[in-house]
Amino acid sequence: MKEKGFHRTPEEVVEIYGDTVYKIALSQMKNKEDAEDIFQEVFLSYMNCKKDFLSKEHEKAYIIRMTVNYCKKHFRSAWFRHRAEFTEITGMVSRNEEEEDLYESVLELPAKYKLVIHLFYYEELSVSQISQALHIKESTVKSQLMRGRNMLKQIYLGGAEGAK
Amino acid sequence: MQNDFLNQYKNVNEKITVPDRLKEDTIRLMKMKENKPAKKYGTYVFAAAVAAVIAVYGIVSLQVRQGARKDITICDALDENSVKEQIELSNGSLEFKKLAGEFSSPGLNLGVMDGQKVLVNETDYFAYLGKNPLPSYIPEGMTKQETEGQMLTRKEDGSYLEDLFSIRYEGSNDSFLEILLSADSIPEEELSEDLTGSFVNDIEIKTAYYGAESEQTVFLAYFRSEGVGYRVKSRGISQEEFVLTLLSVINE
Repeated sequence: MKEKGFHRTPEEVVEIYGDTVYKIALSQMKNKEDAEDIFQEVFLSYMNCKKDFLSKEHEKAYIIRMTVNYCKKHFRSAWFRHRAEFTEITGMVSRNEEEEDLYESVLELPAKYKLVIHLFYYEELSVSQISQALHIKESTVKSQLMRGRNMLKQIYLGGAEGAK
Repeated sequence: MQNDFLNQYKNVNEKITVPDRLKEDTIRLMKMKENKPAKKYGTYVFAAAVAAVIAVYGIVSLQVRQGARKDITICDALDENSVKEQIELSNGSLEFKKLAGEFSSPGLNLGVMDGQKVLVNETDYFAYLGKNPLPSYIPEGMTKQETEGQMLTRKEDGSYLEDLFSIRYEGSNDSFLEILLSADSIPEEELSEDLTGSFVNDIEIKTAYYGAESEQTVFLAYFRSEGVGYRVKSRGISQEEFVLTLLSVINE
């Protein structure tokens, strides 16, 4: 596939990064269909990538950036912008109501906040790794994490109190 | 709340699985793409065509000029008088969409929002960005227009509100190259919504042009590189010069 660096078969690359790509796309797009489209676009474009990855971290950062870029592309598409939002994934993630509420609260965050929260809390990337993957400053990552957490607290606790 | 959140959010995500059907379909498509013979033949045909063109017209090299990075090559031969819509590069491609009408711009922020209005010079702004964002390649004959600075609105935390900063180069016959920068977002990104993104060095870049037949073709590019958003606009320079300018930013 590539002259130097990692030589991964399609099976390997999908196995290693499929989970990361799908979950980022799902949280960003909030529907399975778009997440599946992005999943395929990311891996097909990986086949065109002529980059020599220096490490697995470098490769993962590239895959995350491609996923985010494809999500943005879908956000900007006329079809996406003009359709009614349809969130249908909370039912597929959990049968636990509390977990479902939490996941819904994360989905309600603006895209940039839920992205850093996802990368930090689920992918367990450091602030520095998120900064490199997204090409943004570390200080921006920190402030987005802080704002995201505060917003989440408001959404989540507000929702929980409202339900009582 | 944070530890609870960490555990719960991980738990929820761990319950999500990638559908097997999606994995299988994707792997099948990847294999088809990997084994596609047309691509290899296409490469040979393209190489032969390029060799023929070189022999007939005596074009010696299409390498990126000094000033831009040497590991990037424009694979297409660009004619000074035409505008190609798809330009193949060694590490990606650029798709230029032709736009109708005249280019209009909302203009720079002059600091009308809440906060302290301050005059920011180039040195201070580059320090704020944490890098020198300027291209290492500038088309021949272009001269940088020096200014005292621009009025921006500084917030209490030291960051700028709508931190648009413009750098302008001018040449003969009203030609110019204008680079609009922002640490927050891609300047005037809303105007690029209908453009198709291309990828060069993993960076999504949107390119377009106005007035293909005119000598005063206007080229536009929108992208974000290493935390800085760019809107690059030119008039009266060739497409090759425009592409080389972009590449010298995104390959730094």
